[in-house]
Amino acid sequence: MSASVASPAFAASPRPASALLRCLQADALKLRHTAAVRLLVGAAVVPVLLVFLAFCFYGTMLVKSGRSPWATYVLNAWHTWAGLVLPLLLLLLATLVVQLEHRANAWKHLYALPVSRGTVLLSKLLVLFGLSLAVQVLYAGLLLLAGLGLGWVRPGLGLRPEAMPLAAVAALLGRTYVATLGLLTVQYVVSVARRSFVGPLALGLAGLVLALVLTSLSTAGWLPYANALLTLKTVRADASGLAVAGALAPHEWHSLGWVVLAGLGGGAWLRRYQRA
Amino acid sequence: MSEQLVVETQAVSYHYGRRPVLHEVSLSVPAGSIYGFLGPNGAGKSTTLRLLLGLLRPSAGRVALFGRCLTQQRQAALRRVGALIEMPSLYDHLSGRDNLEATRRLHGLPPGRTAEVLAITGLAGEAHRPAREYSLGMRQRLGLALALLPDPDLLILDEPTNGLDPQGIAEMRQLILHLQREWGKTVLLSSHLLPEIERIATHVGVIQQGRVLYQGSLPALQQLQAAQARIVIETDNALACRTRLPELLHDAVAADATRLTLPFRSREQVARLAQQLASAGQPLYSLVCQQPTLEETFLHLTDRTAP
Repeated sequence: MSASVASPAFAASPRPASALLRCLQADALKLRHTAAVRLLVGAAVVPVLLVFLAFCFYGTMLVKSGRSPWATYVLNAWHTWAGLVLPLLLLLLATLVVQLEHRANAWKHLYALPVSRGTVLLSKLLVLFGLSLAVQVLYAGLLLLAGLGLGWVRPGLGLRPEAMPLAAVAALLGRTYVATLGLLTVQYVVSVARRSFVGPLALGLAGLVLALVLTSLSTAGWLPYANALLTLKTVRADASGLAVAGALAPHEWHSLGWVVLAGLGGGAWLRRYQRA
Repeated sequence: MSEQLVVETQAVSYHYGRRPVLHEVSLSVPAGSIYGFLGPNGAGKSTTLRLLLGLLRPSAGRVALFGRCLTQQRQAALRRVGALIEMPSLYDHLSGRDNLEATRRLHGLPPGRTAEVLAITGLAGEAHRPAREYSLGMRQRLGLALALLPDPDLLILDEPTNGLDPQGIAEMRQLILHLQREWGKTVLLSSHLLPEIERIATHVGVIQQGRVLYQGSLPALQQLQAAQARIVIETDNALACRTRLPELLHDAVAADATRLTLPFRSREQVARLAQQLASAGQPLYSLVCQQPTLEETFLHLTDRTAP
C-alpha cells in the first residue's frame, strides 16, 4: 500500500516581477569575463577612435561649407555606426549571449528550475536590450567627447563646445535604439532556436545585405535589419546644426512591431518546442 | 505499512514525433529511498527523468511529485527538486563559485547557501578556479552542488558517474549515500551500471525499450535472483546420471557430456542428490549451487523484451 507525500511545504510562487529580477541578476553574472562584453566595449571605442583620427588628419576636407561642423562630424560617424558597425555588433551580441547557454548545455538546467520558460527567455532578451542600450550610450558619449577633443586639438574645424548638439544626438540615439530592437529580437529568437553559431549569423548577414540593397525602397522599413540606417536618413543637417525629430518614424514603429511579433510568437514557439 | 511516495508516474507514455519512446511507465519512488533506475543505453531512462522535471510533456499519463500533479504545480514542485541531467550544465568561463551563484540568484536563496553546498561537495578549496579547469569528477561534483542548492527533498541524478574514473565513482557513491543517510534526501538515480546501483540503491526499477520490466526493493530483486539459482553437477557421464535418477534429475539439462544443471530448490535437494548419485555408483567430482549475479538477473529481465 502506498501513499503520496502530499507536502504542506509547497511555498507560494514568487511574483513574476521578482522571478524576472532574479533571472536578470543571474544573466548579468553570466556576462562576466565574456567575449560579448569585450566586443561591446571595443565596438564603441574603436569606431570613435577612427573617426577622431580621420577628422584629426583630414577634417578640413571632411567639413563641408554650409553645414554645421558638428552636424558633419556626427552624421559622418553615425553613418558608419548605424549602417554597418551597430547592426553587425547586435548580430554578434545576440548570438554570443545565447551561445553561453548552448555551449554550457544549460537550457535543460534552466528549464528544470522553478521559473517559467517565458521568464527565462524574457530575461535574456532584456539583457540584450540593456547591452544594446549600454553600447549605444557609450558610443554617443564617446563620440561627443571625441568631438570636444577635436575642437581643442583642431580649433580650425569649428567644433565649439557651446555648439555641441546634445539634444539632437540624444534624440538620434533614442530613435536608433528603438530602430534596432526588432533586429535584436529576431536574432535572439533565431539564436535560441538554432544551436549552431553559424545559422543565426548567416541569417543576420543576409538580412543586412538585403537591407543595404533595399534601403532606397519604401518597403525597406518592414525589414528590421534596415531600420537603423533608415533612422539616419530622417536626420536633417544644415548650417544651424542637426535636426532630429523627436517622434518615431513608421519604420521605428515597425521595429517595435517586430519586437512584439518575434517576441511573442517566437517566445510561444520556443516555450513549446525548444528541446532542452 | 503505508509507503510515502515522492515520485509517482501513472501509465506515462511519450512519443518523439511518431516514434514511441515510453510505454505506460509507472514508477513509484518512496520517500527517503535511493531509487536505482536501471536500463541499457537508449532504454528511456533520460526521457523519463526529463518528464519528471517537466522538460518534456507526456503524450499520455500523469506525473506527480510530492503527491501533486506536475502539470498543474510545476514550479512549486520543482522548488523541492534538484537535478543533474547527463553532463552538468556549467559555464566554463565562470569560476565554480560563480556557476553556483548564478543558479542561487535564480532560486532567490540567501548568499550563504553557495558556501554550504561547496562544503558539502568538497569543492570549497577549488571554488575560485574557472570551471574549464575542473576535472571530470570535479565537474560532476559541481553539477551535484548545483542540484543541492535549493536544499531539495528529491535529487534526480541522471548517470552521475558517467565518464568518471574508479576513484571518482567511489567519491560520488559516498556523496550520494551521505546525502540520503545524513540529510534524508530521496535520490532517484539512473544508470546503466548495475554494480553501482547494487551498492547504494534501496529500490530498483528496470526499464527496457521504454517499458518498466521490474520495480521493487533491492531485497525483492535479490530474491528474484535467488529464485534463479541452479545446481551444477560434474560427473563422468551426464546422460547416464539422468537416466539412473529420473525422479531427481527429470528437469536437469546436460550442459556438456559431463555436466548437468538443474534448478535449485532447497539445501535438502542438494543433500539428496549427493547421496543418490553416490548410491547409484556415479562419481561426483563437484556439486555446486550457482546463484546468478544481479547483472545476470538484470540481463535476463532485459533480454526478455529484446527483439
